[in-house]
Amino acid sequence: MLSPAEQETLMQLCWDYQYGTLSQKDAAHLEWLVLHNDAARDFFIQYSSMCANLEWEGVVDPGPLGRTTDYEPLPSGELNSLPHYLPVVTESTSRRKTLFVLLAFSVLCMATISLLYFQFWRDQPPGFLVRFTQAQNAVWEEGKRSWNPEDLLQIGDQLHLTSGIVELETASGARVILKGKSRLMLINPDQFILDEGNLFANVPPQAQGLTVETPTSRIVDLGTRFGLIVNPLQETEVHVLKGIVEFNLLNSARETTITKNLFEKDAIRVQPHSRVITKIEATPESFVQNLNHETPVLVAHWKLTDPDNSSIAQDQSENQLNLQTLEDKGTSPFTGKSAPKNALTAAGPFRSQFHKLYRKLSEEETPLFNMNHFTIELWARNPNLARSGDSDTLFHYRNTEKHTTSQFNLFSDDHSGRLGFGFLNTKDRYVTHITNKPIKWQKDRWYHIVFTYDSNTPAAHDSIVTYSRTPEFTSVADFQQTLTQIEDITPLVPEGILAIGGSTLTDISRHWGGDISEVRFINGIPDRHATPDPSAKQARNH
Amino acid sequence: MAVVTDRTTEFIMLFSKHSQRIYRFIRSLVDNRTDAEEVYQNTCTVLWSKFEQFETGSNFWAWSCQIVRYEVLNYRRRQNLERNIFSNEFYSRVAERAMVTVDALDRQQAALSVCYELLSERQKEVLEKIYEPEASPGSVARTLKRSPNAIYKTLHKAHDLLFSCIQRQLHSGDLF
Repeated sequence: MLSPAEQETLMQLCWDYQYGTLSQKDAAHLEWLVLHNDAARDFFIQYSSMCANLEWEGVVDPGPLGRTTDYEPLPSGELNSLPHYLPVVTESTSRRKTLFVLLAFSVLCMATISLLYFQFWRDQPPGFLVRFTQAQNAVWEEGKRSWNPEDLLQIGDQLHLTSGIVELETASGARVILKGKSRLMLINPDQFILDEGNLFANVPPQAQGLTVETPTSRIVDLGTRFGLIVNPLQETEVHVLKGIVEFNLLNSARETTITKNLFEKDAIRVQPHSRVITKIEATPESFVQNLNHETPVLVAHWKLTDPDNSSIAQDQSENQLNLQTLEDKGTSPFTGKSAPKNALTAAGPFRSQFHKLYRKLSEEETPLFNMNHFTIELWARNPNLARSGDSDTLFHYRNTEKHTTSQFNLFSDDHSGRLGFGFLNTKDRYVTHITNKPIKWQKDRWYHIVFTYDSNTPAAHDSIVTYSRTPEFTSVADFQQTLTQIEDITPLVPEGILAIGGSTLTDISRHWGGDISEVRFINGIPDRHATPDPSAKQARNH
Repeated sequence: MAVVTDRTTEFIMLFSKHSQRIYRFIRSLVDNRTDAEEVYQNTCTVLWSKFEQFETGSNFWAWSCQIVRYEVLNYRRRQNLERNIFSNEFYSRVAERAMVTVDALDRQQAALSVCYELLSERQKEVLEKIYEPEASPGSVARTLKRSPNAIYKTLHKAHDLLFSCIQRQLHSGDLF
């Protein structure tokens, strides 16, 4: 029980708190009372509650105070406080019932699992904050701790991963996958700092609130899957793969200056110095989402945003398959060209064979490219249509010592502008497949080109190939085609030349002509590029 | 014809029943009305977006409180440190207690309407004005052509009277 004097003191403190006039000294006094006296705590809550009830009248429906006295469903004013966007959906009764049964069953299963999970933790409270669960080909920075499965992390522990992939699990059940090269530090039970690297987080409901800090940002998970990239220049990318993420932009004092919620398929990039936020395309394949299942994996990502006159095109993936210009007569294609989709710059024009970017792939590097199941996507414009006699090459691979023809070519055909690819099939024959109708290329307009190849079943000649082209500033492809019954491709032979914007080192005619940006080679086919029903598409195109 | 789905109806029913409780809960953890309303709006959004995870028949209030606590946590993270005048333990203890005393606070709400009628007309006038959206003591003072200090004193007195009356009502058992 509180004495009258204590009540009077509390009343004054609560009033000052509500009115915003509570001094620090009085705040400390109020805190002490609330923490050490149950009755004082109830008093504080009741006073706050009274103020809230008074305010509620203004929040819901400004009117006579004291109007709301019961909780009858949907009394007049309460609807004003419902979210504005409650959907109105038309569904058949039977479908609703089926969905309801499925939903109820799923919820029941989830609830059971959650109960068991919580029961387990209640009986055996975790003696750790984060557990190191798995590793694949992990290499640790010299002089730093090497972590192993079942190791337990405490606050302040750091992971300096040079290469490979590792998985962590927080005590609350969030799963974090880190891809090298990365540096991560645990600063709270559900809070990390990612200084550099690539991080994917899968956050179940009970772990919501998981927070990752980067040099410029603070990302708070509101459920359930997101990825982060912090590159060596401290540029931060946030990709929301499912659910909602709260993004906070921080100033140099690490105070929040902008907060926004990012939703599924949203992705942004933050520049380290200017703190400029740009919207980018979400690329789930940039992240390893599961160590136990095969998911699309980014093999190489040449943004082609390298500095003017650079002789190197940096690969942003962990494989570091940097490209270079020709040593002798090479001319840098980095000339400050403007780029599509908020990228800073592009490469180009690839006006001769001397502008191509290339790399000789070693024995270790060629197996990185899964030629059974892959995607190439890039932005390009202004192909060299006027030059007759040969194709305008975008992406190329050839080992001139082993083969007299290219092993793989993605190109656009002169004059007709049709997209095509040629490759060495498993019988060592070079075959080409070109889209079935001419394609116009509007001058100076960027196009997003996606090429996928799926060898399908182990049987020969049943591969599936898709092309799509989407102009910048539109969301719908202006060209799509699916080809089926395609031969299988021979795996890349080591010591060949991988080139962008041109073909082999000696071929003078095959070069793209215009500009290229954001080239990705992905093992597998991301969902956003998957063809749901190839046969239907093929029938439509025919 | 467009129809509202069963789940939507369920959400509306539950949310209508608990919305004022949710706001009250937020207000016990956030020290000013403007921020409390922002947290409340964010909470509404999250409640709706996550409603598919809510199991029909389970405790919507307890589920909502968990979401509120995360939203308040996020709000506090966004504030400068000096704005957080209390410790984490303080907020945690208050939240735990506010969650379980929800029924008592419901009764307080009924008592408020009784006690409000005991205020003078002038006090009612000031209270009505100050709890209008976007109102401040300054704006109320201008509207009522009184000094801000006079408004402050009237508000303080009215709150004291209301709270004392509510306490008496609850302890006398008149409302039950």
